[in-house]
Amino acid sequence: MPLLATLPIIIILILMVGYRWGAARAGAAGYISALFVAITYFGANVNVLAYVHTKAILLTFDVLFIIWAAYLLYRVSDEAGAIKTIGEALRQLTSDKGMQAILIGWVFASFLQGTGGFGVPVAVTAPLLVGLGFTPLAAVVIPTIGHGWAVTFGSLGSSFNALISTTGLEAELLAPSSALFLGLAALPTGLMVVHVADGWNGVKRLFVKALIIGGVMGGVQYFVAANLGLWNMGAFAGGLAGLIVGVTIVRWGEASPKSGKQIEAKPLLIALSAYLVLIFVTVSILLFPSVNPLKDALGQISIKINFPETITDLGYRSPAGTNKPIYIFKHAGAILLYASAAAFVIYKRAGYYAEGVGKKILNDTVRKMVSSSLSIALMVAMAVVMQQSGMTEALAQGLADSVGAAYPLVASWIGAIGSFITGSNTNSNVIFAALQMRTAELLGFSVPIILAAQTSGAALASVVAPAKLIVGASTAGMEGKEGEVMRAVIGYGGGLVLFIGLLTVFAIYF
Amino acid sequence: MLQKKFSRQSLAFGLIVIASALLYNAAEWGNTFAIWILLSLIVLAAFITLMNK
Repeated sequence: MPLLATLPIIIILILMVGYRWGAARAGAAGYISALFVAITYFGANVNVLAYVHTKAILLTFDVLFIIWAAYLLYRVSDEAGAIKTIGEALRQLTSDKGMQAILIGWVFASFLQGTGGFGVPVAVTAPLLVGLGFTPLAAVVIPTIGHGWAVTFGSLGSSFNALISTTGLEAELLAPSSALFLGLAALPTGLMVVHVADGWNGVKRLFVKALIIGGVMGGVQYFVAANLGLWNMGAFAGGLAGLIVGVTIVRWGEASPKSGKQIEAKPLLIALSAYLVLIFVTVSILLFPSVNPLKDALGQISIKINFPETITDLGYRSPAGTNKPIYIFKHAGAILLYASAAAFVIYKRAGYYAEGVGKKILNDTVRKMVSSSLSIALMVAMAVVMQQSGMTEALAQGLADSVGAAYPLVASWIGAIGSFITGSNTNSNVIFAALQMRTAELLGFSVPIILAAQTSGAALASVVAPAKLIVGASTAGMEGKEGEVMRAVIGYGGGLVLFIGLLTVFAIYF
Repeated sequence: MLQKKFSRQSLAFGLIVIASALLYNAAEWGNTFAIWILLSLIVLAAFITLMNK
């Protein structure tokens, strides 16, 4: 049964990596195979399948809202020439390809993950890197790898919150090991970013700078999440500290040749306004939830549906309950829409737009997003069919049962599988955290360490999940070539999950 | 209509969204026939997506 449960994942991997299919077609094949296996071997009956698809479309909307809005923000700023202006400014800040990749694809992407997440880091930074002369493939790969360490404590801690909710354990117990593992993962992600941008020579040349920046980002995230207890601000604070240190190193460092031109402040400020507005709106709405009246006001309207308990013909139960509420007006997608609208007004008042540009931006967004939307709808449907029919549990259980004492090495891979198929660290934690906790108890391992492996593996694999790759690919001119992106990132993602596995073994046995 | 990739993908996405949304009511009413029809539409959308022209 566990082998059968792997079939949809294997089919997607083979089609995308081996045959370079786009995500939509591979997702369709994965979905059809998941449905076939669920019905014929896992006893998924008509009642289960009906509710599965409604849950899937809600999750799809939750994801797509952000993707559509992120692309709209990108088009709003790109049509105004903002991407080009920022790219020019960064060229003047440093012409070092490795440092450009560090600043934009690692530090800035991690900061964006801290404030927004949900695919925004790649969607925003990949076009910036293309503007700097990186190939579209490198422009997608660099931020994809670069922000993985910031996922669990990013998006205002939504994935970490899922870990707390599903295990019932206190944040104080879980935060230190999770923040430590992900903080330590920050450095290899930075070095991988440099490797993609500038090869091994770049890694040797920029090792110390990456060590400093990675140490600051990981350290600040640990301090804020584990020591201050503000786990919802961990990646945000880490990314912000990384930006300050990174720009300081570039401005006063010795290794970064400069063009000698002066950066003009006003055009740069206007160009950056879309992202400054995004930061301002995000902080205004999402941070400090206990004392933020705006968050309460915008949280009044939500999509929330009651689902009954479903039981497959083989007896696998999915408990009754509601979907994760989708708060329309304080959703990350809504925040991006507010930022897009505000940025549009700023650029228009500054005279950056020609007549009729608004319609052009909207038309372009719709045409570009259809393929990505279809891919995600099919991938999510596949993932939810697997979850609710018991395929995902069979897969994880089979892995855990077969490895025994080697479980600490495997735990991060279970988290990684969950996020790879769902494209979400949060979903992986929802699916696997309770199972990982129980398995750790049965085998006598430290629960916080195993759960740190779960969420860290999930975070680092979520960024290379097909559903996430589609976002970056679509914003950097790589739509339909997601297979190429997958081939480029899968090794780095696997290496990072293995790194977490080794950390877990060390923490458990030494 | 199915000759253009954009049209094909728009149709497939539309089918998935509408059928998935309607499945909740079909399940609540216990209408098995409607559920199978709607599931068939989603599978049809997946096969339309597999087309490569």
